[in-house]
Amino acid sequence: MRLFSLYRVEFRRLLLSRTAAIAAILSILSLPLGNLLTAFSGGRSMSAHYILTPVLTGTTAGAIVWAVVMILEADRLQRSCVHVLTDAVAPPAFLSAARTLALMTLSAAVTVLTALVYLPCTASKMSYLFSPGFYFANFMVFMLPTWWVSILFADALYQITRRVELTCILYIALAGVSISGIAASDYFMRWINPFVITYSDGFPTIWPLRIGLYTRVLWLGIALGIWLFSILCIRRYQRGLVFSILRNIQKLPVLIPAVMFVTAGILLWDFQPFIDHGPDEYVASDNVWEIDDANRISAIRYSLDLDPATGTLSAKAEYDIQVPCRGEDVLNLNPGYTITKMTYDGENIPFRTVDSDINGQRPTYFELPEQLCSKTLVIEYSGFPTQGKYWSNSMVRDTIDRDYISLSSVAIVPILENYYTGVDEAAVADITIPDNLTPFLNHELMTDSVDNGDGTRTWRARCPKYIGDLTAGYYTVDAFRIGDLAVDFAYGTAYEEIVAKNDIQQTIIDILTYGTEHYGELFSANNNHLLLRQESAMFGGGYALRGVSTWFETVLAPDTLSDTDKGASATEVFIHEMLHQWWGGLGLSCADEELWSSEGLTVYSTYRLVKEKYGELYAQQYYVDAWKEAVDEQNRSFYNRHPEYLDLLPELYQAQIRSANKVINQYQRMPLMILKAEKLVGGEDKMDEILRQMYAERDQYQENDFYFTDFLNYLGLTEEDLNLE
Amino acid sequence: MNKMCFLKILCYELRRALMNRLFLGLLLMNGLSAWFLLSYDIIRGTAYTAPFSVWSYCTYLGRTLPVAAVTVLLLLSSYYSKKQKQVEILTAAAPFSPFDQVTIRTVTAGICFLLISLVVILLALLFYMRLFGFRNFAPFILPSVLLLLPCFILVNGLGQLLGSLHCGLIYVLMMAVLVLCNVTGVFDLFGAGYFSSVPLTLPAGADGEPAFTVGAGFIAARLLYLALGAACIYLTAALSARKSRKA
Repeated sequence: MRLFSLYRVEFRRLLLSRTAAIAAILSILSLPLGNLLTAFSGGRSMSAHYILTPVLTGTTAGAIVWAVVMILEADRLQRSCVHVLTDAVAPPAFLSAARTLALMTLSAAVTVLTALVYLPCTASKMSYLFSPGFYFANFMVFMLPTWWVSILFADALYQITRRVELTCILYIALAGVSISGIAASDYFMRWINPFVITYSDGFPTIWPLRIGLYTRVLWLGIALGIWLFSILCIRRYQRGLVFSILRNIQKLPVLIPAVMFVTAGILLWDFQPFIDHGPDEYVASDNVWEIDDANRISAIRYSLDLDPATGTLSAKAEYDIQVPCRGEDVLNLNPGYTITKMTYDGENIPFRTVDSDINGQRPTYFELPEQLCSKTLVIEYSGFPTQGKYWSNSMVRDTIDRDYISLSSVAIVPILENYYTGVDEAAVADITIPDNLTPFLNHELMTDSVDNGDGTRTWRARCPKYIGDLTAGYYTVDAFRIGDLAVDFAYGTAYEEIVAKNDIQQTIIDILTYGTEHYGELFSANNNHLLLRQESAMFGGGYALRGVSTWFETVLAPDTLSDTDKGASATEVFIHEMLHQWWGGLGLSCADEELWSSEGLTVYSTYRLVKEKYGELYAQQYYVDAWKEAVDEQNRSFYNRHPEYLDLLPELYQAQIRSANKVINQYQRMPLMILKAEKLVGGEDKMDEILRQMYAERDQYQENDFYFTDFLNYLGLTEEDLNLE
Repeated sequence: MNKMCFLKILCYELRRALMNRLFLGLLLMNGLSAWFLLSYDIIRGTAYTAPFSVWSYCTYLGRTLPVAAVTVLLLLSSYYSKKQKQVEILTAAAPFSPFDQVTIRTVTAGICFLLISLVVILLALLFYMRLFGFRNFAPFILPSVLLLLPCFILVNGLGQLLGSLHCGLIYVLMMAVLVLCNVTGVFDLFGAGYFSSVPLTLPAGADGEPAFTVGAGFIAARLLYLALGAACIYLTAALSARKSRKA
C-alpha cells in the first residue's frame, strides 16, 4: 500500500518533470535517425526500412536516454542533500522501487505514444504492405522491454556505486559489450541493440519477433535480479556498502528472488530453443558415404503436420526396410526436434540422441534387429526447429509461421544415410499446412491437395528419400513459354503490381534468350521446365539448382527496380542468378576451388549481358573497375603478402580473412582473368564460341566437375597467361 | 613556495588522484577498450599494412587517445567542481601561488595520462610480442611522443581554462573530444584518422608497405596544439592569479 502511494507520487512528479519530458521527446525523435544515417539500400525490404530500422534505432537511443534520466532521478535526493530527510519519512528501498516503477510506467506510455506518432507516416509509406499488428508488436517486443532493462540496469548500478560518474562508466561498459564487435551477430548478448537480420515484405515471418521477445524476457530477468540485489545496497544510516547490505538483508527478503531471476535469465540463455549449439563455422566432413546396396528401402511415407500457432512440426516417417543395416545405425535430425517414438515391426527400439550439433544437425543412434527383414521402421518426432549456428547470423532458414513456412533438410525429415532406395521418388509426403499458402516441395510446385475443412490443407507429392526444401507462402505463379522451355515464375502475391508494372516477365525472356543465343539451349532436367522463384528476404540470397533459379526478395522491390545508376546492384543479381542456369547448378558443373568456381563464369556473363544492355561505359565502371579495385586491395593486404602471419591469428580471424579472400578470388579476380582470356583468344565472339562449346559438352563434367585446368584447355592458354599483373 | 612544500602538495594530489576509485575504474576501462581495439580491429592491420607497422600502432594509439583524454577531463572536473569551489577559500590560504596550483594540477593530470598511456602502450607491445613475435619497438617511440604530448597539453590546457570559467564547460569539452575523433587530415588531434588514411596515398616500398613518414603539416599542427595548450595553461594561471588578487 505504502509502495503504491509512493509510486503514485513519483509518477505524478515525473509527469511534470522537465527532464522526463525532454527524454520522451528525444526518444520519439530518435527513430528516424537510423534511416537518416544510412541511406536506403535496395537490399532492404520496406518493412526493414520503415519499421525495423526506426524501431531498433529508437530502442537503443531511448534505452540510453532513459538510463540517463534514471541515474539523474536516482541521484536527485542526494544531489540536493535531502536524502537524510526523505529516508526518515519513507523507507529508502520503497522510495527507490517506487521511482523505478514510475519511470518504467512513463517509458511504457512513451513507447505507445511513439508508435502512435509514426503510425500514419509508416502506414502511408508502406501502403498495402502495412500490418498494424506487426507494427505495434515491434514496439512492444523490442523497444519497451529494452528500455525497462536499461532503466533497471542504470538504477541498479547507481544503487551499488552511489556515484553518478561511476554509474555512467559502468553503464557505458555494459552497453559497450552489447554494441561492440564481440556481440556483432549474437542474438542473446545484444541487450541494448537487438539483433535482427531483416524483415520480409512478401513472406512475413514472426521468427525475429519470437527470438526478440525471448531475449528481452531473458535480459529482463537478469536486470530484475541485479536490480533486486541493488536494493540491498541502498545505503543505511550513512554507512558503507557492506554494512548496508548486511543491514538490508535482515529487513528485505529480496536476495532469493534476485538470485532466482538472474538464474532464470542465465538458464533461458543456456537452454534457448532458437539456435543450435554447434560450431560457428561450417564443418566440412571427410566422411565418404558408401551405401551398401543391400541396405535397401522399398517405400517411404512421410506425414508432416505443421502448426503455425506454435511454430512446431509433428511428423511421422515410415520406412519399409527390405534389409536392415548391420550394427549401430545413425540418423540426423534438426536439434530442435525430439524423437518421441521409434518402432520396428511394431516393437519399440532403443535409441540415443547425442548433443553434438554439427552443421545444424543432431545425430541419433539406434540398432535394428538384423534377422527381421522387410519390416517397417517408424520414427515419430516433433518440436520447434532450430537454426544452424553457422548460418543463424545471416539468414532465417527454418521457420513455421502462419504466413510463411520455410524448412530445409533435417528440419523436414530425418536423414538416414546408410540406406539405398533404388528409385528417384521412393517416398510419398503428406504435408498439412494452412490452406491459404502455396507450397513447393524440393523446389517443385505442389499441386495435389485435400481440404481438411479446418483452415488447413493436406498436400501430397512423390519425392526422393531426402527432402531438401519445403517452402510455402503467399505466391503467385505465372506460367509462360520461351520456345520449348516452359517457365513457372513464382513471386510473392504482394509483388503482383510491381511485376506487372515493370514487365519482369519480358526481362526474364530477354535474359533467357541472351543465354540461349550465346551459350546454347538451356539444359533443364524436368522436361524443359524451369522454375523461377522469389525467396524471402530472410533467406539472404539466391541460388540455382537443376531447373530452378531463385533470387532474394528485394530484387523485385520498387526502389531496386527503379534505380539504374547503382551499378552491379540487386537487379543485376537477378540476372546473375538466372545465368547460373548455364554456369553451375546443373548447367556446367564447375568445381568449387579457391579461385575457380561457377561464380567466375557467371559474373563474367552478367558483365557481358549488362554491357550489351546498358553500354560499355556502365559495364566498365560498375564491373571491370570494381573488380580491379577489389583485386588491388586484396594484393595490398598484409596477410596476403605475408600468409605466414595468417597462421598466427586466432582461428576465427583466419577463417574470416580466408573466406573474404575466396569471395574476391571467385567473384572479382576470376572474372578479370576471364576478361584477359577473352582478349587473348581473340575477342568476345571467339570467347562466346568457347563458352558455347563448354556448355554443350557439360555432360562430360557431371561426374568429376569442370576444373580450371579444363577451362584453360578449352581456351588453349596456360595459368601464367591469365595471371594478373 | 619552497620545493619541499611543492612536492608535498604534489604527492598529496597524486595520491588523491591515483587512489581514487574513479581513476582506477577509468584506467581499467582504458585497458579493456584498448585490448578490444587490438583484438578486433588492429589485428587486421591499418590501410593494408602489418598490424605491428608504425602506421597501425599510431592508429591504435590515436584510437585510444579520446578515452584517455576524457579520463583526464574527468579528473580535471573534480578540481573545478562545485564542491571544490566551496573549499577554495581554504585552499587559497595555502602558501602557494596560482601558477604553482595550475602546475601541480597539470603534473598530476600528466602523470595520470602517462600512466594510462603506459598501460595502453604496454598492452600493444604485449599483443605484438605474443601474437606475432614482434619486438622491434624502437620506431614507435618518436611517433608516440608526437601523438601523446600535444594531445595531453591541449586537452589539459583547454580543460583547465574552461573549468576555471565554468565547471560545466569541461563536460562540453568532453563532448567536443568525442566529435574530434572523426576529424581527419593534418589537424587530427588524436592522429588515428591521419595515420590510417595517409598510407593509402603513399607508394608501397620493397616490402609491400609504404615507408613510415609524417608530413610537415601534421608536425606543424602538433606544434600548434602544443603552443595552444601551453597558452591555455598560462592563461588559466593568469586568470586564477587575477581572481585571487581581487579577493
